Amino acid sequence: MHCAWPNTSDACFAITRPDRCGDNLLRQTCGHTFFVKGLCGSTEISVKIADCGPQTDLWCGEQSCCSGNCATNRLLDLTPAAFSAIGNLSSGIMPVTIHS
Amino acid sequence: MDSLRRRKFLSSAVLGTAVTTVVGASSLGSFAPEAAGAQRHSAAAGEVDANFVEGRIVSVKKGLLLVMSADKSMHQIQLTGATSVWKLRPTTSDAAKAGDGLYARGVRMPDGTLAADAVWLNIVNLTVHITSIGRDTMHLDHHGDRIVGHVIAGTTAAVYNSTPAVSDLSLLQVGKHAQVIGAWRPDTNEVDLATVYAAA
Repeated sequence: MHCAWPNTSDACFAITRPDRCGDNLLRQTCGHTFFVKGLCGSTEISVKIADCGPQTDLWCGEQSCCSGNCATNRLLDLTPAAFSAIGNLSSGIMPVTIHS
Repeated sequence: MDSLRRRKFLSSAVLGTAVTTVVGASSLGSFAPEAAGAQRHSAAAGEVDANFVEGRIVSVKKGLLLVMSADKSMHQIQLTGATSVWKLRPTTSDAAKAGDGLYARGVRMPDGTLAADAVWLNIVNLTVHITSIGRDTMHLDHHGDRIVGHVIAGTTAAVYNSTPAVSDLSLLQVGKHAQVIGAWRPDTNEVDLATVYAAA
């Protein structure tokens, strides 16, 4: 399962600009593994970075909540296989926690 | 679709073609120091998840879908009364038709059939720019590809700046970016709109 991360390279960061939303994200390159858990559930998935994205600065301040727990800013794109393991594809976005 | 290959159409540009499955789905995140109590999903990072299938439906027979994936592999997907089915909106298993694009998640049976917990038919998740807005349609630019978005009365909703979804689309603006969740009309560049996420 794979994901996209906004800071895989200088060129990537120049497009996605998470810093404009106040997020100081570490540089992580393709192949790095993140562990992701939806705030709506208890299942955790592991995903490897395969691309650059999302364009975080287009959505600064966006918030998504589940049962009173909220997350802010678009920091990760997941493939359908990964997303559907922890949420419903039709929602399009979901709040998650991420750790390496 | 002439100028727009389906796989490209379904893909989110941020994920591109570098990965084996496409439609991008964004997650809003925060960093957790730990994941105490989390139940670990069985599929490993970077590996194919055997309990997930993507492809197009070749045939449908009594709830059994024959699906061809992009790599030409064939899969049998068994729908049951308990299967959650989405096709523009939550629906029933008889909505599945030959030619539909499909994502399915479930459990593999001993014979290899995927017993589906959930299937999503023709679902797309696109980052777009709005190029025009009409009474019942919106024209969208998806990284240079033109897409016609159909507004479906009673279904299409907009989410403005994280507020609850509303049927009022009047705050959408030409020239602005948006994220569109919808149902592709097979073999066209047209999408029935489910949810349009718009920022200020």
